[in-house]
Amino acid sequence: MAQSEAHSTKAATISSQAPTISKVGERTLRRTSAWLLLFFLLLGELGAVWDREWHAFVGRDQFWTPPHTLIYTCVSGAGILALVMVLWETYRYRKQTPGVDAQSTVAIFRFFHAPLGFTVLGFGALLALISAPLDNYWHELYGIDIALWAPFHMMGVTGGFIGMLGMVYVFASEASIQRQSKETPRRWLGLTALEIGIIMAMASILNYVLTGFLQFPMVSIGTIHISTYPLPLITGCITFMVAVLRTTQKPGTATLLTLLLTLHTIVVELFVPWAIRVSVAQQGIPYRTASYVPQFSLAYAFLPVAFLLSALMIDVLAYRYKRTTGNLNISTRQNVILGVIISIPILIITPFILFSYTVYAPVILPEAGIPIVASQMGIAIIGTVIVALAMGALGAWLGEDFGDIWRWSKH
Amino acid sequence: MKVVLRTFASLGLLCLLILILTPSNARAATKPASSTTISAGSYIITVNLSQDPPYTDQPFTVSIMPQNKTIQLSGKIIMEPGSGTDGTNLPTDLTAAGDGTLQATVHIPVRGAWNIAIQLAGPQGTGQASIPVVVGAPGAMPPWVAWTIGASPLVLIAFWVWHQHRYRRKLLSTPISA
Repeated sequence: MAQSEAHSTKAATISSQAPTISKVGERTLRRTSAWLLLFFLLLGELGAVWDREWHAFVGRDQFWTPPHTLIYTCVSGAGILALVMVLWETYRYRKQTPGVDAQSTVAIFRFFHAPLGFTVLGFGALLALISAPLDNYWHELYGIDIALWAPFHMMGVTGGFIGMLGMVYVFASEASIQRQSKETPRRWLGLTALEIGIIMAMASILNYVLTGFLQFPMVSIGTIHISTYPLPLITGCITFMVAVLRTTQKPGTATLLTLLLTLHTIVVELFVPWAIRVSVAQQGIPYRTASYVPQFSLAYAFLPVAFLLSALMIDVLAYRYKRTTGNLNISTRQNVILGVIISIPILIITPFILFSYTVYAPVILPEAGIPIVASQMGIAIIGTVIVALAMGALGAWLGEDFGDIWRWSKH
Repeated sequence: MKVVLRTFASLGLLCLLILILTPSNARAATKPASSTTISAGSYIITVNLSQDPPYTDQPFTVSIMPQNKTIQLSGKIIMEPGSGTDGTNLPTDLTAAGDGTLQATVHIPVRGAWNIAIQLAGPQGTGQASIPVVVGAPGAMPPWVAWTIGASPLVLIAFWVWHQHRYRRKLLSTPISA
């Protein structure tokens, strides 16, 4: 309790120490860019899922497939916008434009000065763009079915992830600056547009996690195979559920994040199978398996429902804690314990929802036709649960760190 | 001034060298790199490849010349991955190129064994034929080099998490001024 009070008190004090930074022109520039970047991000993530499905249903017939075109258009657009912002802000910093100073920018290589979010985002986009020809080269050498765990896929995926994190920094710093200013912004469900932008960016990151979670490797104990797909889901969900609460300081935002994620997956499922069918028909190319044509999947569209119970648990707790103590920042230890507890519903519910979607759904997969050894099964179950709960704890710890920084940082 | 002129002359020479050394595509349009005569059903055809061996992701032209140039043929070619090659079938329609010749520009995305399957239709019915090709690729980078490059951003992420953790602790430990 004492620690949690210290958290909120110091956060407030740190915020109040900073002079007000609110210059209309600068704010308009950054916020317009932020929404433009979010537009690129949303389209790009749609492209990422489309690409995953294109690989599965059509195969990687060339580099410039329709989903690749969408992805790289968005990455280039976001990267160029970030670059322009970095150069423009550097110019404005050197011109000592009001609102562009050491408090609202970071120094890059001691020469450039730009908001941290745009810098991180630009760096992520650059990595993703560098990885594209290298990934193509790897496909040329080893074929079309190399997936997530290929070196340059990892590079591209990491670049995308860094870019999306940058997006959150962009919105978070503007929201932080707005809180310190005399602005009285319009609110929806108690949230400002910038806070909604933060939640949308976080939902996009979670949707990005969903793009690759089934690619996570199998671990074998004797004749029992364990699918590790719950680990990225648990870590990702808990990180951003905790982070969104600490960033916005509004109970209910974890549930809102989950609902927005559900909206993403529904849109993805409405768009992607249709887009593949249309593209295949227009280009006159065959499916890899003639009878395997993409269709709307209810299981994937409503997969985030598996996270809803955890989101509600964390929101209710935050609400009650805030009512009692005046703030919702529980201590690190309490937070880690909470992360462990709320990872249990995700671990249990997800396999049921995915049952019709993938053969990996049950997580623990004994070798078919071989009698199950009880000791091996025991080790597999206990090991899986321990690792999953540890990932929940890690997610909560990360969420606390990043959530607080996104709450405070004006860079 | 002499330095500038010398620089321009060097650049001009470089451009000339590039022009001289890269006419292979232009030459390929007139003289095929390989020529194979086979039968596709009742049609005797000569299949010309503008590049042999083809190279990954570099478009090349497949021309099909029937021995009997008076017949009107149509059809398509399908690039089929051969044994041990991880790829998918890539169909391309053949278009008339004059003088009874059909042609298509194709590309192959993965190195290794492929078959050019030719499907023709004409007055004597349909016919099929297949020509094997081995597609070349750039030299393979050692996997450890690839992984070092590919995984390097993960190191940056780990550093960033650590940096942000320290930054947050620093913010928390900032003395409170009344």
